[in-house]
Amino acid sequence: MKKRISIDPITRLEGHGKIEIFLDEAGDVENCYLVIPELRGFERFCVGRPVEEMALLTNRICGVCPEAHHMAAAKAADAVYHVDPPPAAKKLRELLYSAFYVTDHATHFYALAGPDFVMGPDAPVAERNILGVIHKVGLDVAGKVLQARKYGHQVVEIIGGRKVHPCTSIPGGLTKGITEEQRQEIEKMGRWAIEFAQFTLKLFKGFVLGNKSYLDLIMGDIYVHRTYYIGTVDENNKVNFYDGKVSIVDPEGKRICRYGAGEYTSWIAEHVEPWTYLKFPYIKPVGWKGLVDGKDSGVYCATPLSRLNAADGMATPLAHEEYDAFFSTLGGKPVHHRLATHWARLIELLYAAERWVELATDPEITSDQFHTVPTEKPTEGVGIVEAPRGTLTHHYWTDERGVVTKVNLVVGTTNNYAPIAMSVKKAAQNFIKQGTVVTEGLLNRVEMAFRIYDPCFGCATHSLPGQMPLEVKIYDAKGHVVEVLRRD
Amino acid sequence: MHTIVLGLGNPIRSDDGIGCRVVREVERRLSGWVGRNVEIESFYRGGIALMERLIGYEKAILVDSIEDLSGVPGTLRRLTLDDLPKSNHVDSPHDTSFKAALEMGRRLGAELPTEIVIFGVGIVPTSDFSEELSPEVAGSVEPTVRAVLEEIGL
Repeated sequence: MKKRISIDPITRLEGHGKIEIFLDEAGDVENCYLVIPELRGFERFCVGRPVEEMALLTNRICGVCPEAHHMAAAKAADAVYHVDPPPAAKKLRELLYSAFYVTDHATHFYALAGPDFVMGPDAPVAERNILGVIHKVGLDVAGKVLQARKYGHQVVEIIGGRKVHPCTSIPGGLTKGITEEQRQEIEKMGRWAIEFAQFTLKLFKGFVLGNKSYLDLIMGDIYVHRTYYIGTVDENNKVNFYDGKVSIVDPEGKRICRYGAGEYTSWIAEHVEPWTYLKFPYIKPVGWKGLVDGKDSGVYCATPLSRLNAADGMATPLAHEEYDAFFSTLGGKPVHHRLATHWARLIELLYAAERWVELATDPEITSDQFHTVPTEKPTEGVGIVEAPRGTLTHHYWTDERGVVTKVNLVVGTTNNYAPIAMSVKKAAQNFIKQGTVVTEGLLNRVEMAFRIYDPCFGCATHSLPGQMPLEVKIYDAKGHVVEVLRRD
Repeated sequence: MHTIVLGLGNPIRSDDGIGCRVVREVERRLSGWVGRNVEIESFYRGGIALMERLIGYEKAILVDSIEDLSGVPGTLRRLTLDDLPKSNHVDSPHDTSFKAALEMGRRLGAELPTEIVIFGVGIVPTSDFSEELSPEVAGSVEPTVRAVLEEIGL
């Protein structure tokens, strides 16, 4: 009799996605499935809108990283109009984006990854959350997290016009620049952010790298997959969140291409599986061989770890030092140990803070040349940025008036749908075996695999939950519920 | 009492945006009130960001959609924090739960409201994208507006 274990909803993430684990007759894990809502509805919703509205509309796709969608949409709209924004506009957008990254990566670590690493996966459920982290590391740290968020939001508001949903990007650049007074304020906050990032890395290393059982977990086989990796890099092949080319490296770390925004369809294709409407992207020239590892399989990954693997380094000095230490500790490039993604995220946090200050002290940043008027007819365009969760692609087609006729979005998490399913299955297979009781810790280990990817579940909805936060359902072969486990 | 009224939701996700629609109407009705001690806003975040927005107010009124697992869509419920699930884990992605965030704020000495009231309008969540409310939920706008005004003390 086939059994199915369902983690529904998953703690620390929105309940729209759920993991379902199917056991075979012997009680071993046969398959894991992850169900995520799709974005096709949103793509249809956008048809008929003026393309310059997309940077405001796509803000609403995700309540967590609207800034990412805003930037991808802004770049896609530039491309639709075949217009190149002036350097000051690009730098201002990247500055906003760097500050947003600090906020996002910091919140993720302390609220999501932190509870696993700082508290331990076997800590009591009631402590495995941000309050447990605060109790362990001190109130002072919690205060720093809120301060980092406050500063990040202030920068977004100064450049983007609003705190969370920026609105100043238009085709060809921005509607406004910044004053010298604002620049000084931004620089001061950025310097604080660098210290905060260094502090966070030190905390992580102390709690995690100084703890043998954690190190064993990170270096162990359970959370390892040898796949392709992608990430945006600048002209020196260093990680860049806002602009550049997308680098793809194979499981041995060899770069197979650097593609520009308009070329993504030559490198990324989508495969359909019968048990989900969501399509699995894969590296097109390599081909789809199923949910398997290896050089011959087109499965790829787009996460902070992928970005570090796909690049030759970080573009700022402190982060680059950490980048080198990261790879030398973990045995060279590429790193396939997926739990190391949380460490990679903190290196990115440091880079984002350093880049924040770099841009805030760029002589062009207060220029009044922040917009180039488009003169060409709009047709079609692609905008790519690195969302915190992975490479984000917006592709728009318009008519000659600039009204959207078609949209295709590849959001951060979509890139990772295949590796997420693979990571969850592998973790489940190691922790759920015939005769083994499914305990809290076991389920959380499976969720840890899943949370590595910091996935988004489609679009931001805000309905308050109407029921208990966690429910595990076990189904028989006919799909009848045979047992329900609840968790407070 | 210095009060903040927040309409929560995503205005392009159909009924999920009921909170925003309600507060827009509340704002319209109070627009002539000079020197009022009530701020009204649409807000799109949960968790820590929502907690941060409440700092400095004595009372908070939140208007939001709530998953209606039984009963009729459009049913209005007046809730307090005690009525929300007892969990310090998240109910929003990449963040922490509202209750955990409030607790975090309190421990840090933030000036958070002493009274928090939540008006939850029952909806059946879908994956639809629309700027329109469904007919059942649209009918709940007026009663919810009146409930919010009464809660403000009008």
